[in-house]
Amino acid sequence: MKKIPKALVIALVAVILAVGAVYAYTAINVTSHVEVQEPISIVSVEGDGTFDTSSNIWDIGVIYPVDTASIAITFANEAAGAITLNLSAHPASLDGGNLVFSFDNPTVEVPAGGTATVTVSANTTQSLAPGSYSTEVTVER
Amino acid sequence: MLGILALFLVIGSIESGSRAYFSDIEVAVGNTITVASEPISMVKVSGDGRWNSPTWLVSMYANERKATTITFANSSPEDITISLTVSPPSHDEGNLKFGFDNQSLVVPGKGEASVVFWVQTSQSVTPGSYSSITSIEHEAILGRPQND
Repeated sequence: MKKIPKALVIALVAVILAVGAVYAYTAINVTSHVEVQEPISIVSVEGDGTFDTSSNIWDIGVIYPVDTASIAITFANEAAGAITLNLSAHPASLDGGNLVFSFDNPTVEVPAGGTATVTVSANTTQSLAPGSYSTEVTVER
Repeated sequence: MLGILALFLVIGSIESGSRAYFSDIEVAVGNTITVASEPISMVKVSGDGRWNSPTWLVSMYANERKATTITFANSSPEDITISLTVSPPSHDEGNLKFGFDNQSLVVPGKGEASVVFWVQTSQSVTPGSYSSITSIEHEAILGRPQND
């Protein structure tokens, strides 16, 4: 093994001591835990039929041709900012369009710390075939 | 002598930018080196959420912003520039983001400086738990004599 000249070692050490050895140093690490909660909730439902708040199922009950059933759903917003909700029904119509679900406001803004109400309606035509029907209403923010 | 040289070569990843000088480094006989203390420390926090040091705990909803002010102290006589990075900087496809009012700040020698660290959610954020780690880094130079 080739020996490093002593003079070179001394010179290198002198340079390092004079200039300094620089390195990035992590002084502190901070961990952030964020718990995000759902700000939107249903606070009241009023209207035809019955509404089960645990399952969010609206049972209209019996509806006849050329009839309308509706419920008014009130949403609350716990967030510090306003939140816009988009409502849609899937499917929006059944029996070839003889049973149609609709909203008075498919897009509604719920103010911060406030509430907003949307009415959901089921409308039938005189050609509606007797039977059981179901749809799913989606509320998206 | 060779030992000191080797030690510096192992440590020495040279980088440009601001530099801080440790004032309390001892190079003792027998080729050992001692870094006595870290000059940067967190001395005060305030704002939203709560702290279980060094963890910031925040509970929030969609479409909100929460922030905490962190104050750093510098025990060395020299100014130290610190840089802050958060990893990962966002979650849930960007619906939850972390950030700072300044990603780099100078903590004056024997003084303090503050930075605001914030987290923001969009209206579409998915409820759940999210975590990130913030690193506060600075550069140090070994071997410079202290100035005071």
